[in-house]
Amino acid sequence: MKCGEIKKLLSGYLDGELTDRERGLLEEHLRVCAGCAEELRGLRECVEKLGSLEEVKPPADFLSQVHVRLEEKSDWKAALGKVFSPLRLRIPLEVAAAAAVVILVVYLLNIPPGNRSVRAPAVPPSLGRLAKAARADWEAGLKEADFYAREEKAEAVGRLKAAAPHSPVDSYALEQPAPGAAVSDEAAVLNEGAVELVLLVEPETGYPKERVGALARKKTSPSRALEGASLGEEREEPRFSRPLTRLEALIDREGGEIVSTEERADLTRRMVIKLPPNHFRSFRESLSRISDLPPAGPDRLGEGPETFRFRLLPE
Amino acid sequence: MDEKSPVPDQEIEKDFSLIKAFLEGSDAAFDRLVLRYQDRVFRTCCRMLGDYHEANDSAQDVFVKVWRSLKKFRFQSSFSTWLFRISVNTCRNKLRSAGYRRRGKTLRLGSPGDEEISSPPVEIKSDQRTPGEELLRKETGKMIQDALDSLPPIQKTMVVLRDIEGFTYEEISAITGLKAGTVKSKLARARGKLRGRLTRQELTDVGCGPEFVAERIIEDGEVAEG
Repeated sequence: MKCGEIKKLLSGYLDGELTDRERGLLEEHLRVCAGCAEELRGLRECVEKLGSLEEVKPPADFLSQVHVRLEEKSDWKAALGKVFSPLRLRIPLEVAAAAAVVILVVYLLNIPPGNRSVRAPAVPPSLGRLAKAARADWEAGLKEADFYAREEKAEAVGRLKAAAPHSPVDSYALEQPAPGAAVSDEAAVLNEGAVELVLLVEPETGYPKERVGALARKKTSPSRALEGASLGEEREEPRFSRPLTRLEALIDREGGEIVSTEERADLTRRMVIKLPPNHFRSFRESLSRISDLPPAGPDRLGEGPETFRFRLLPE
Repeated sequence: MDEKSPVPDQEIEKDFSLIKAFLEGSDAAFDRLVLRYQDRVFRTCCRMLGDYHEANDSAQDVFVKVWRSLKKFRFQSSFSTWLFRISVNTCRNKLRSAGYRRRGKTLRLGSPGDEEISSPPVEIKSDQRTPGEELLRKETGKMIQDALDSLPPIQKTMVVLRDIEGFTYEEISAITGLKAGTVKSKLARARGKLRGRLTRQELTDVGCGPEFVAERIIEDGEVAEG
């Protein structure tokens, strides 16, 4: 056999993949041919080098990275996928900033605790397996009392709202002003140790019925609420009756801010306001002068917003 | 070095029962499959792609594909054949992709700090080696990877599957879809090329090639002996 043909067989010879006949011919040739023997030696060395390459191991969290990728590439709403991926793995500041904004949104929307439960949307049966695992993770995450779980929740609420605008949300929430209205430079200062109050303003006595009815029907749209609630902004038409305007002016004078306002079915107006801490007492005193609220009240505020229920006095 | 015999039947059966469990709803079974094969798949991707991070990316893609496609698995080939078919294709697609630049994508081995930021945490076997030997091993690794990267994709695949992963010709044929004869000849061609390149590289490093003798003469200003 010629050297050229032998050389082609050397590789197979190394792997024991030659036929008996081929092997016989080759070994016979190698006995007499130094060149081919040398070639074989070199090949063997090469194969050994390849086999003794340094081990490269995957990262220790390889499996969890695979799971993250599986969730990311899930076919369902992208929002839901992000809900379940652990926030810990996300590092960029933009995400943290976005989460912070969402937390603020949640706070301002003031969603009652009952509505905070996040339910996974209907899952196609073929993905039930993944949903089960994801839901288990989600529930496990909720049990943790750490910052990330809360961030996730807030982010989840935000994203689910974005993804499913028709999901059942308390209609009360729709009347809240958009975050842009309340989040202003002054608000940032005001939030420092600000006192939150709830004012329940009863409809004034002596109001002609039609006007009361008119007030009731004048249910403002959210965008109107935005315009009206933000102090200092142009109002297209008087939203409140005159006495309420006095109230607004008082709040303004005390450096306070209306966080939200809502007209309830029984015609009372529920306003959540914020006051700078040292203005509470003077506000209360001033309020007592224009309403039936007694001037003296509890000095110390307890936990949670203080609620004043009063009726404004006619001018 | 991996033993060069086909996957034993009991291993094949073990994989099959895990797959069945997964198809019946057990996510834990999938996890176990991953853990059984992640090292090998990752290593294959490393040697095919020559880059730790690209390898990690592709290896994860492989298992995502596994998750999605296991329902189509027919139990006719072994799981490892099927898995490596996916791995090889994933790597080859990446190599072919427009965005993949092979320049600069060299495998970084060694402890973090002595290489660029993309250096992977390599598990060094606890032999007692001198720093010089250690250095030589790193250099050798780089050299071999460079040599591998110089091969055309099919030849590279042959060498990786045979000499690094230890598959038989038959298994390589099943994985790649190439005929046995083609596997044999492509592998032979690949090894020959590698050998040639590695030998030349060695001689260059050691400095005993003719060009080095000439340089020495010029530097020293006198004729070198021998």
